[in-house]
Amino acid sequence: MKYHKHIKDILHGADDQTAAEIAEMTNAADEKTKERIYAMTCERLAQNNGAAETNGESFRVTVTRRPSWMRSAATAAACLVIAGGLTGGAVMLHRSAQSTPTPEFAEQTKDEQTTTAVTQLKIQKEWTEIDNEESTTKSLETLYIEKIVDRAKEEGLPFDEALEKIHEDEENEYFLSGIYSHYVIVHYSDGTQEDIKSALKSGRATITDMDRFGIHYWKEPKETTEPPIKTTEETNASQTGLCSDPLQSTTTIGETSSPVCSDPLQSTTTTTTTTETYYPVCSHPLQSTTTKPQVPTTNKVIADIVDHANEDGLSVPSALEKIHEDNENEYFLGGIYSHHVIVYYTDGTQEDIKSALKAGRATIADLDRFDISYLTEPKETTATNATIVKIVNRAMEEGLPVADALEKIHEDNKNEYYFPAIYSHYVIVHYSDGTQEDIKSALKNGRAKLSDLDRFGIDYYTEPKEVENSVDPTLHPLYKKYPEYFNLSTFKGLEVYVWQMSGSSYYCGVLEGTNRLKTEEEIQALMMNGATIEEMKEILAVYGIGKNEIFIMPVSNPVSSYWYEIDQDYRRKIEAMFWDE
Amino acid sequence: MTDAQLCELIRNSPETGNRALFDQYFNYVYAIVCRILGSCGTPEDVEECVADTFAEVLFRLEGINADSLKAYLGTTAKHKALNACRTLSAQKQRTVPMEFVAELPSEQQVEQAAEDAHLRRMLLDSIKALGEPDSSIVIQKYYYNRKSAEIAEITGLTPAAVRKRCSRAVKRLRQELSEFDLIW
Repeated sequence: MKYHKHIKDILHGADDQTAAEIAEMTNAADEKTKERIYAMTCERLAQNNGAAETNGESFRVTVTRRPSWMRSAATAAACLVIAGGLTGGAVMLHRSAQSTPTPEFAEQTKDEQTTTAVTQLKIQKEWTEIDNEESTTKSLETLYIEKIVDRAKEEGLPFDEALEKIHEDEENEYFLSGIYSHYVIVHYSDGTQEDIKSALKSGRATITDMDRFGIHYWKEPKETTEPPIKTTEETNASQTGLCSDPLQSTTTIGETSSPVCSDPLQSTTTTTTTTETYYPVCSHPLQSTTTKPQVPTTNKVIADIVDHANEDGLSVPSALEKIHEDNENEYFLGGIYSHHVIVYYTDGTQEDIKSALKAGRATIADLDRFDISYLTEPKETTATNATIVKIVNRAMEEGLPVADALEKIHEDNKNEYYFPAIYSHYVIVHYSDGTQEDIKSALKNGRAKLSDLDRFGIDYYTEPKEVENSVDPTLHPLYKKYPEYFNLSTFKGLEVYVWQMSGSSYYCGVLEGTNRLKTEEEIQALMMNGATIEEMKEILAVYGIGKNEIFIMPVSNPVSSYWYEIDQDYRRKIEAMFWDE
Repeated sequence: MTDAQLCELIRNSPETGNRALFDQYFNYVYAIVCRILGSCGTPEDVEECVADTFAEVLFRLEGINADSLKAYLGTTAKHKALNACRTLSAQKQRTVPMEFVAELPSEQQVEQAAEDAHLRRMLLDSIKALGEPDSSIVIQKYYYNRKSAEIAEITGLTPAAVRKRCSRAVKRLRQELSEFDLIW
């Protein structure tokens, strides 16, 4: 039985009884944590009791009646105070208009005004320029991080490929795998935002926050003074005055000259004068001559492979990540964390497992050797010459559970073909060579046809493809600007996502209707090319479908600092923008 | 100590009684909270939720039937954790996993749930069979999401020893449960 479930999910899916069983197996926390929680409990209990007592007292307040003369006296006193205030104010205004201030007073006033202006500026800076050192203390006290968004990853924004250092502490240096710290945006509770580098620098964000919001980074231990362990190759190289880094070294044909090293720091005295021999030299592009291929990278010796995601309990996106494949199998990690699985070499260098596997510096056997968990999937069968023996719908025959929704299994020029429920993975095509695969793959790869489904009595729906208005949408004036909003299937309606960027600025994008909720990524992708509401109305008109098939969905743009609450009234307002004349 | 005795103790000597109740049910409440909040909250959120649960139950103790104290604690912990999970998910604009929300599974899910329960039973039995401290290490790592250093503090081992024991334990479990092809 193939489960493909993470052990954590299995355990966390436990019922209360199993949780009780787990509770009996081991202490839930260390003594320090337990005491801390008990102290918190006592504190909260005291607060609850205090609040209850306060509420109780309010019922015991006795009602007393004031003497009637007090009302008249209080009214007279209030009138006097108001009259005095008005008279005094008028006198002060009169004086200030007539008299010119003395130089000292003028100076003092100017100082005060300057101070006030400076203070106002400071306040403005605090709210607008979060980088300001002066605001840091206040911000730290009042702000909390709502989210950190890696726009480079989410929106596929371009960036230069090089390690970018974003932070360092006493032990480690932290890097992003590209120059895109300006795309990693920290969103604060007050609606402000800044890039991660500034946030880390000012202490408003920490590396833990990056872990919390699944922002990937590299951690490099700071270099120690201990000399790095040398490999045999390195030792030999240094003894003969050759380049010490096998990855950097290449070979060249030396006729009479002795091997040289371009880096003066790396070069040592050498007496080797062998002729017609390949000598490794530093691979500085300006120095490279007729070169042999690079020294095989397999010269590197793996010291350790550590799964930091598992070791440090880092939160990683839950999806299978393919790290390698060979002729027979594909290999996956149980989450998107290959960048956290680090291969450490004996020469002190390191890299992530995906790169190491790709370059052949590590193998799957190495993963086994260092107890790194992974998943093996046999490659899909190619059953090209085999004929179909039978097609079995296991969902129907064995009554397996399926989700209720139409599942598209195939399409041709005229029609789209659907199963009445999500069970294509249970409809298995058996081939004459003993192999089998699910129907969707078989149809996709042309190994099965719809006539095969008919032949083996597998039911499916046929839906003619939407015939758009007789007008060719590509001729629409907005097609060039928003090609992605045309030619959408209206089979399940259209979903229009609307976001507000300022008081009167609204943008929107449209997606095909589906039974599932759209992901944040899908919605945010629309925000890259938002149309105005007027433009969207024109686009929607092309589809010629009714209001009831168009779903207006207000959303907020995570990149925008403009805040608004999406409630029922807001939804009505947005819908009215589309439908009210 | 039975629940009735605990209630009696809390009535006569609240301070001692509260502590006794906390000690007796701490692991239970923590495990329930961690089950729900473990996937969407931080350890601090779990701690807050556990403290909230005990504070609420102790505050309302007078109205609770002494015989159902454990059940009341469990239910309160579950509801508090679900609320916290919803709040946190709303902050992070995520959704609460359906398995926590849907109390009554649909007919189609029943079979899957039964298969899961069967697998979970086998997994727990295999973990128990590992013996101490390996079973504790596996539970701490995969249920309570603790790091090796934290597990080391609880079990009294060194972090390196925890790592080694954990990888050996996982290897054994993987062999025993190879038919399920679990992801570790």
